[in-house]
Amino acid sequence: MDRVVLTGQMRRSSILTQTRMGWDIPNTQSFDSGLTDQCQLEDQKLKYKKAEFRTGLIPIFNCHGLTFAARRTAISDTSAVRRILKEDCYTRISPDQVQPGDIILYTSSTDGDLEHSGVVIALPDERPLVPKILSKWGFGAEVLHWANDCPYDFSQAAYYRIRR
Amino acid sequence: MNISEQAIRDVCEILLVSNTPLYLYKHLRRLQTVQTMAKETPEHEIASEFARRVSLPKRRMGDVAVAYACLVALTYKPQSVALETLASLDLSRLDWASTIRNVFFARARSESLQDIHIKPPQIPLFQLRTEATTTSDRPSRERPQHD
Repeated sequence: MDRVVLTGQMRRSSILTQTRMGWDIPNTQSFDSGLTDQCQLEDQKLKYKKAEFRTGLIPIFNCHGLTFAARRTAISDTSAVRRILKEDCYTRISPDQVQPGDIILYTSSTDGDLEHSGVVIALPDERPLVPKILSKWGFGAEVLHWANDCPYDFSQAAYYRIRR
Repeated sequence: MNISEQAIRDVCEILLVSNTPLYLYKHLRRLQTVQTMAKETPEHEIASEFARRVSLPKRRMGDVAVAYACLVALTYKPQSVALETLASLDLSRLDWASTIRNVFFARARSESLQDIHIKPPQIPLFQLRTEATTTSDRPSRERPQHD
């Protein structure tokens, strides 16, 4: 199967990446040069002043690609993310059990859509225990941010850990 | 088609943080800029703007964002117009365009089905009451008479 599609200046491809149980995860690497307009990043930096933007804009992978595919590609199908959670033996944990290395999933409070994911990297010393997250914001940058300081709906956020 | 700098910044802001096509679709639909575009611009102009932006030889993020905004603005048009216009567009130059169109098609289909299934029967309440009180009293025409 041809895994690379060329359309004008946009180049797309997918790679073979699987769950533990051997299921092929649908994915797309985007090389759209129109999505690397770095000046857009400056607006984001002004809006989220406490966040630390650790890269420029990288359209090749998205948040789920960072969390579940080692930054190699973008996973845009949320049903695939739910299958990964199941087949890779993730289990939900309560916020007071969270440790660095766990993952966070942001779900929309209006329609239950899975909108974002990231990796917990630190916990604050004081309450409230809102962890610090490493995540990828869409086509944009990798960002270090407090879990409640990002463009995604934190009210329904849930934490997961590999069970075995 | 005139699109202000602020409008372009608004749609870029959403595009930049979108992790999935569904997120992009939902959040662009909520944007005032997109709703205004749908309200004030005829569908053929929106479609032309979409085609122009996606085929630019060296497009910028603003072009990509406006192209998505055009696509989503079309979903605010009357359903038959939206379905016809969206079906006529070449979506191959924009990563998530065909997924967004399919989301709209699926939602339009489910809304049509809901219209059929949830519509209550148009029987006046007094008629139902009358039938309930009289059917047990009168002999059924279908029931065989055993004298």
